[in-house]
Amino acid sequence: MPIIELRHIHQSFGASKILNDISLTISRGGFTSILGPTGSGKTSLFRLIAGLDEIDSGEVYIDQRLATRDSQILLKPHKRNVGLVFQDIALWPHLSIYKNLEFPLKSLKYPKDKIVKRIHEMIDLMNLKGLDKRYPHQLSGGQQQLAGIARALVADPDIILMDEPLASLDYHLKKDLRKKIKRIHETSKKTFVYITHDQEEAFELSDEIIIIDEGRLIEKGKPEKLLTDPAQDFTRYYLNPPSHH
Amino acid sequence: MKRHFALFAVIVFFFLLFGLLPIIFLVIRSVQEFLASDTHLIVYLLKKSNLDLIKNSLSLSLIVSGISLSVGVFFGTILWGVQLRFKKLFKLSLLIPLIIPPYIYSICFERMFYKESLLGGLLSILGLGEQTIQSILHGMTGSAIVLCGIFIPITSLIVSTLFSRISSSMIDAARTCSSDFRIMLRIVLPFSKHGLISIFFVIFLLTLAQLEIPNFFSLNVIPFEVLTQFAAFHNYSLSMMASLPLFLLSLIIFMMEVILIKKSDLLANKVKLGKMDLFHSSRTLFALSLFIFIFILIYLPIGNLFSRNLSLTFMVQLISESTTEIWNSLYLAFLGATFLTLFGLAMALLKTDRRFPFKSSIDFFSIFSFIFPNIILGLALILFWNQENPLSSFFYTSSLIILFAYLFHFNIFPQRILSDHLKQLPRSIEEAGMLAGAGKIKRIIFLILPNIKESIITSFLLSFLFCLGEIGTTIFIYPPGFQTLPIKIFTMAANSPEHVVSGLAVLLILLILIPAVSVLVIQEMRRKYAHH
Repeated sequence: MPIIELRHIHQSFGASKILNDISLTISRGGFTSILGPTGSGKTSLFRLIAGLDEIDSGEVYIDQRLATRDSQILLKPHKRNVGLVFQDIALWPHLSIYKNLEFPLKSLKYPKDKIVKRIHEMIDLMNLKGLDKRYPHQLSGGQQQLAGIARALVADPDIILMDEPLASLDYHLKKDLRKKIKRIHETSKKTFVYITHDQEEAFELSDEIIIIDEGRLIEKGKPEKLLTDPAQDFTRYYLNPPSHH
Repeated sequence: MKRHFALFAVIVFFFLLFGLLPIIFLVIRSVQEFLASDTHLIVYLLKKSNLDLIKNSLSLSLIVSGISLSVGVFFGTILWGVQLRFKKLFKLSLLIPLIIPPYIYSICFERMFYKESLLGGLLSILGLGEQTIQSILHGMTGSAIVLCGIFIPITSLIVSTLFSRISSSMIDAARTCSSDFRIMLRIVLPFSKHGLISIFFVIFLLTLAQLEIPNFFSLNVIPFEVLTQFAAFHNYSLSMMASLPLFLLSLIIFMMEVILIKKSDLLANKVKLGKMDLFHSSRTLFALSLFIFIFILIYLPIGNLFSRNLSLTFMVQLISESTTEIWNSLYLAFLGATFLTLFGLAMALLKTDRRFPFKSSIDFFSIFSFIFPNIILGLALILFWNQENPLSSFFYTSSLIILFAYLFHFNIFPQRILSDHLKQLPRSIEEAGMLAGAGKIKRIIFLILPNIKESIITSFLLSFLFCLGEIGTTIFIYPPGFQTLPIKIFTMAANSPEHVVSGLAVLLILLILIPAVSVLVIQEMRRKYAHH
């Protein structure tokens, strides 16, 4: 049973077509990467799943519920049970890390004792002990991204959407965090949707990859299958560019 | 670096001679007057008439800054976060009260309730006659409404700019777990709180210094008392004493402002621009509220003034009778705008030079000179420069003193516009010129200025408009036999026929709107040309 389903999605900004008849499903509990070159429409997909942007036509289903139909957002972002992680981290700079984690829980009206318990669980999980009273600018880049992931997870959403979360980090930090994200996925059993243009990242983390280009769905499949036996020429070219031969 | 210090010395020297020293001189003279008089300072301040003045000034400032900020936050949120059609038109409309001189706006507003006008006619059908409305508007109510009409639009624009400093992904992250209203309450407003408090203080101070509007609605406030004692009774010492509470209040608020700006710098974040779509389901309602506000408080009063029986022949006659004042205003505004743009450019170049050690003091100078009441500046300048020596007499008796006052009071606008643009220029532009062997001045003229020419034009235009409508300082320092159009309107308003004052007001609005609209059209054409 898919947790996310997109049916014939069309989206444009002004005269430019961003998404062109995209239909796809994402299965529950999996780690799906959406891979594509810059400007292919990855972030637009991320945003429409989260309910942040309207579409021109098509339907978006979240957990079997019709969430967006054509230009109408039927299920508001905070009712979709999703957590977001961004490349620019986007922690709220005027709030301490503790308060950053507390905000979603308070918004969703968690009881006080549960809020404290849940925040401490997250802080332990992300190795942020002793840093919870600090403000975002007082943390390193890696610590900030961990706090960003903690904030996305804290309200226990069914779906975690990540938009190039490691793109601005250095190589070693990226490797460490990748392992951490993988571990979190395995233990939490939640659905992870990971937007990236980094093939290494997509292949290491995912159990399913969706390739898009110029707003069109090119191919979807298991990482090994896409690498060894792609159905489309674009996939073959994109995953094995001539310079690699 | 030597050139930097020389330029900085010129700026400091100017601020000392045409701002700080006259103000310090005024304070010393005021204190001396107190000491010389039999009246004790506290006794003087506690006199009922003085307490009433202070009470009126503070109440008006509090009401106007409170309402302007609250409504400004509401409209600012709409302009920033709600998807609206014609948003650009809304923003342009909100700029109109900024460029129309406050006194002229008061005239427009009051005339809107005359029985022969559209709104006045409607209200009289409802039983609210012209006299009733005039008595309601008399004093605090009229002053507060008109000042709110001026400050709400500009507050809305500033608030929307302030909110756009919040990265769109921060808002997106909040939208997945919270309602839009809660996002505003818990994320947007607390994030921007230093900026918002700062706006409150600036409006408070600008209202406190307001002379023309309370005077128009016969509300006794401190600046009005300063002017009355000075111009009507020629009692300089009482005028100085009356200005002291205003000076002290301004100083306190200025210090708060400086502290707030330092605090808000701590929250600076990398801004990711993105589409905002808050309050999706209420956007029609919000658009309607913004439209009604703009229509009632901007287009209706100004349009009503234009629709009064002002025939072409009458306007031509008015122009021929006011040629000197129109010429004086245009000439002063042109010179003022030229000096302001050059001065602002010099300040902006110093402020954006990473190696210059005193760059942070530039903002300090600009903020101080802007938020300091223009009426105190006028009084201080006249007391300081009205001395019996050739140099003082030269400044005092020429229109140069007005130019320097403009330079002191309005430099924040060109300085901020140009330094913001300079900050965005890649450093490599200048570095490449340096490697090619071009000296500093050559680099500025041939590499920097062509890249910021749009900001130079904007700075010039904005400075021109502010200089053209200035009254508060000019009324104190205009030399004998030299009058500007706003001063003529201000002095004529009480004793001249209504249609003459309305005609002169229309003339001034046209003088302001024609260059403003032409520049907008030119910019739009340039943008279209660039696209092609």
